[in-house]
Amino acid sequence: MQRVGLLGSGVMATTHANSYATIGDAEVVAVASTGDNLDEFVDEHTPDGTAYDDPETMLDEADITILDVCTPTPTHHDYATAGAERGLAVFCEKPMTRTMAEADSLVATVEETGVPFMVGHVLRFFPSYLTAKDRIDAGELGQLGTMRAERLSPPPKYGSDNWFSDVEQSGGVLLDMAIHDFDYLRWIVGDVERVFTRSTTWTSEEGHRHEHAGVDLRFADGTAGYVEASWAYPDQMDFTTGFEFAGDEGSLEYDTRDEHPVRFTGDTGGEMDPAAGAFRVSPYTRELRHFVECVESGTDPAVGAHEAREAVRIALAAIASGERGEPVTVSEVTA
Amino acid sequence: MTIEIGILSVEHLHADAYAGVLDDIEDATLVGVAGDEAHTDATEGKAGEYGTEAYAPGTLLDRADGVVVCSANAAHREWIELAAEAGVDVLCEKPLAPTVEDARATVEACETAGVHLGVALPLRFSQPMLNARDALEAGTLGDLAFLSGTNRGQMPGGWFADPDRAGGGAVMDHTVHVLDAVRWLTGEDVREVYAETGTRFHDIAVEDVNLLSMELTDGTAFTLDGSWSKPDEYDTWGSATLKLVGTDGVVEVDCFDQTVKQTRDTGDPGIHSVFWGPDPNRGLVEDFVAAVREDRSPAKTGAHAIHDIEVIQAAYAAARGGEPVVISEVA
Repeated sequence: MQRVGLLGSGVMATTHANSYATIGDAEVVAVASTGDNLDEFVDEHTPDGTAYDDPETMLDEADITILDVCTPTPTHHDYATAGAERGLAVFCEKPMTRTMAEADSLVATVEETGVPFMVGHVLRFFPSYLTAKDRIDAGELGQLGTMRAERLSPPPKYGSDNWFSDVEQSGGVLLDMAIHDFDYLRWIVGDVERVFTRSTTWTSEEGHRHEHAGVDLRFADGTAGYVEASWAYPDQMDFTTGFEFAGDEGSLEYDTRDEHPVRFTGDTGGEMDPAAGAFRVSPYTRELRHFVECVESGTDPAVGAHEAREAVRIALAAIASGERGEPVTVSEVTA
Repeated sequence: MTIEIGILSVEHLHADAYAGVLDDIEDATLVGVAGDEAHTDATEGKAGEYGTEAYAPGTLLDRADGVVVCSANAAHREWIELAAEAGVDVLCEKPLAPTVEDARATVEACETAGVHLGVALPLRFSQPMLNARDALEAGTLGDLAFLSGTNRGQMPGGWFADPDRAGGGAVMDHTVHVLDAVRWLTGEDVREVYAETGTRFHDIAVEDVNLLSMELTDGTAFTLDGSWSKPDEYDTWGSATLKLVGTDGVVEVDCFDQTVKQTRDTGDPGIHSVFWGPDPNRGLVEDFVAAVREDRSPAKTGAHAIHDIEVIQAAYAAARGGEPVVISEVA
């Protein structure tokens, strides 16, 4: 049985807490957050967990085996490092770090300590995205030519102190959202050679960063890709993702806008919307269950520190390209 | 008075669509087709298919009030100059010409001869695109911030994949439709182009990957995927889409999403999407017929199309150099 210390009390911490509740081999025994909602969070999601209003105190005092980091991006490096240095298995939400220097440091710490370590690149646990990879790996598309991925949403307004809108903290839509697709595409075809980005940003009167970005990618094997990510949609919009792969023997397409396994008409009266997803097991639960199994069995998690660092590198290259207005060679991004 | 329209060269498959529209609309008729001597059989075959006559080019130009040029790209200039000399208005299949030099020459020839020159860009008449234009003009989107388009298709083969006759591949063939729609919607031109191209899907001498990343003259970002990336067995020819991201709203247009799903066990077996929406080619041909009748320019003029060719050539330059290319530095 793994004893989880959860860091954070926001949207991702909620998702993870609810997932752990369904995983037999793990339980959340401690939650640390500097957020005002800590007690409320624990009451609602982790009633058997001890609340800590200081992460360091939890690390020092709680009897935990796994540290799960669900705090804002710029805190990932220090918390994950602190956990690894205490010999804890560490699960860290994406992006692994805000900078390459932090990524290099964390990779080194993970290697030195040898603790189980994984980053939440959850697309690798979405059945739709896995199905596409299986078909491609089976050679059913032949040689890939172009790949497209979309990840579109309104600006995230749920971050503590509006941290998503502060690009110094979040990195914007490319480091926070597009990184899912960067990791996924790299997982399928390998390293990215260069990127070219167009992006537009503006801040709403309420202070929320709006950003829409389109990134062309050239992979080392010659495949061309395009990743589009948005925090620019109006609030009425449902979170939308999609992908398209085209090869010389066929293509694959997926778009959540076309996915309606359940349609509901009526008033939920506050109960769960029957049309809100039809997963038997949530991808986040699959992801965390995989990590818990790796910790229990001593096997390597699917997305280690090295893989996560490469995803950060692509995202930072894409950001740099947008800023400079020129293509950026990914391997040259070291800071 | 019925306007009599001829088709000069039937090498481009769109000739079929234009002939169909001309057969359908009341105030115009297809008076005949003509081709060059090397394609006499094909021209006569199409004439039979369309229920019209095949003529020598000079004869057709004597009889026609206007002509549609449906040749391979590299031959556009020759056909347009022939029509201009005969004093006949021209609608040319897109792109206007493979090179900026040829495009300019066609415009000058028509100006000198006093005939109107239009370019066949039907998305201006696509109803979903017109809805987007209305939203843009009504201010529903706020300030326009980002444009993302696609115009993917199957590899057309034949002369389309012949660098000498087409002037290029997917960049030449599948850039201008959405590009023109964006220029028409925004009133802006393209300032800068970056391109990732390549030949990944077919064993051909031209590119089939066409990923463009552009900036308009007012700074708006505009990305476009115009690759020949649709498999031969796809349920339709391809698609044309445009996403308009504004500060107050987003409109996503899919010009050919109005379809019926058809599955056949016989004939042409498989699953097909059958388009039933308003036909953009009808609006295109009706506009040309009205232009001929009223002695005015068609909606898309040859002069306006010169910049489209500049963008294509800048895309090729960007792909060669691996750097974004500013249009004024190419032209």
